[in-house]
Amino acid sequence: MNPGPLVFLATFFALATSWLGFVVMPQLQIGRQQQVEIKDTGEMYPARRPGLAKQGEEVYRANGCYYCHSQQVRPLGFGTDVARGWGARPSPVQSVAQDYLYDQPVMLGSQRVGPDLTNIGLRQTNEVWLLSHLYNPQLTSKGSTMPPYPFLFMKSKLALGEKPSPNAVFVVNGPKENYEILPTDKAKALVAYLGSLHSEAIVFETPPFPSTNAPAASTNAPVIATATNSVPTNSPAK
Amino acid sequence: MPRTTDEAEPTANRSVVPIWLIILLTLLAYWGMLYLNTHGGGFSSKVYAPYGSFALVDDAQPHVIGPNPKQGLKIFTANCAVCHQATGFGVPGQFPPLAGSEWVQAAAANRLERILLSGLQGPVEVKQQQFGAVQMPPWRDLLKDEDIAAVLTFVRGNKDWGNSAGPVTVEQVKAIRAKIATHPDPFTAEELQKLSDDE
Ligand code: HEC
Ligand code: HEC
Repeated sequence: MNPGPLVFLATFFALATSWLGFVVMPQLQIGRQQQVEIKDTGEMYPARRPGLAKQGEEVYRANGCYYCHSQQVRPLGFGTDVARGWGARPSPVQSVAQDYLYDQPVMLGSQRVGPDLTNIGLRQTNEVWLLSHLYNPQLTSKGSTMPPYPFLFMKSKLALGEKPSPNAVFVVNGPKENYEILPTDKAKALVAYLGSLHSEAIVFETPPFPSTNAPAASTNAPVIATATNSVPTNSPAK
Repeated sequence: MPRTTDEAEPTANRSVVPIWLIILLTLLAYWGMLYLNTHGGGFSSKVYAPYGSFALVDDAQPHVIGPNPKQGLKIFTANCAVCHQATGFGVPGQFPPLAGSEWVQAAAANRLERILLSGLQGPVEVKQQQFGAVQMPPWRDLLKDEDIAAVLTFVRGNKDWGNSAGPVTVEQVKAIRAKIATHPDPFTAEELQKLSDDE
C-alpha cells in the first residue's frame, strides 16, 4: 500500500493543530487587548514608552540582553520568582499579557542566566549604577558572568586639570593619562529603557491580596471594584 | 561487507495497535481535558494561575466601601470648582467655602444632599460668614446618584481641606432624591435647619 496519503494527512493534522494552538487560539484569546484605566490612579495602563526608552528597546534587542534576562515573573506558587523579589504586584498573579501591549517585539526571554528584568525600573533606579554595570559588570557585581558592553561608551581624554563632564560615568586618573568614560546615546537610551521596565499596576487580572485591615463589607454601602475592565470582551466562546 | 543490490529492502510488518494502548491514550486525553477544564480558566484572557475561573478572579477584586474618591475629585473639578474654587475656600461674599464648612461636615448628610440635588438660595451662614447674594444651582438633572455620592464623599473626607466627615452612599442620595420630588425649588438655609437628622 502507498503510505503517501497517510503521511500527508498525519503531517497536515500535526501542523494544523499546532497552528491552531499556537497562532489562532492566542490571537482569539489575547489578540484584542487594549489599554485599560487603572481606577486607583485614573491612568491608562500600560503607558507607551517615551521616545528615548523606545530607542533603548532596540539597543536591548540588538545586544541580545534577552538571551540571559527574562521579562516575565511567574505567579506565586510557580517557582521562586516572587520570593526572589522580581515581582512588584501585591498579588498572586504577576506578569500578564496586558503588560506587553506596547512591546515590539515582546522580549520575554527563555533563559535566566541573569535576574529577571520585568521590574528593574523599580529595583534599580540609580542610573550611574546601571551605566557602570553595563560598562563592566565586574565594577558593581564582582564575579558577574554578564559580558561587558564597553562599546556603548566613549573614552575621552582629560587634559591635566580639566574638569570631567557631568555626564561621565566615572573618571580614571591613571599614571600615564587621565580619562573619563562617557555614555553614548545608545547607552543612555538603554538605561532609559531599563527604567521603563516596571509592571506594578493592579489590573483586573491581578487582584491584590485581601488586605487585613480592609473595612468589613457589611454596610449597605455600594461596592465598587477598583479595576474597570471587568467585562471580558475578548474571551472566546467556550 | 557492502550490501548486494539484489537483497530485498527491509519492510515493517503491519500489526494492530494493542487495545491497552488505545485505552491508555483515551484515558490520558480524558485527564487532559479535565485538567484544562479546572485549570484553563475557560480560556479567558483575564484569568491567570492560580485562579481557575473568571468568577474567582472577579470575586478577588478589591471592594471599596463607599464611592471612589478619585471619581469624586473628577466631578468636583468639572462642576464645583468654578464657584467653590479648587482650594475649597470659595470666594468671600459670593461662594461659601466647603473646606471646614459645618454644612459639609454635619454628621447627618441629609441637608447636604438636599443642597446638592435642589440647590440653595437665600441667606446662609458658613463659618461665621454671611452668603446669599448668589444661588447654588441644583444638580438633580445633571449628576447621577453615584456622582453626587462620589463628590460629596470627596468633599466631606478631603483631608487637604481639613474635612474629615464620613462617606455618603448612593442609597442615601437615592432616598433623598425621592423625597425632594415634591420640592423642585432650591432650598433655603432656614428650611434645611428645620429638618431633623433622619428626615
Ligand atoms: C551572558 C548572559 C548575560 C547577558 C547577555 C546580559 N546579562 Fe545582564 N546579567 C547577567 C548576570 C549573570 C547578572 C547578575 C550579576 C550582575 O549583577 O552582574 C546580570 C545582571 C544584570 C542587571 C542587574 C539586575 C539586578 O537585579 O540587579 C541588569 C540591569 C542587567 N544585567 C542588564 C543587562 C542588559 C541591559 C543586557 C544587554 C545589554 C544584559 N544584561 C545582558 C547576565 C547577562
Ligand atoms: C454657580 C456657582 C456654584 C456651583 C457650580 C456650585 N456651587 Fe455650591 N454654592 C454656591 C453658592 C452661591 C452657595 C451659597 C448659596 C446661598 O447663599 O444660599 C453654595 C452653597 C453650597 C453648599 C452649602 C454651603 C457650604 O459652603 O457648605 C455646599 C455644600 C455646596 N454649595 C456644594 C457644592 C458642590 C459639591 C458643587 C458641585 C457639584 C457646587 N456646590 C457647585 C455656588 C455654586
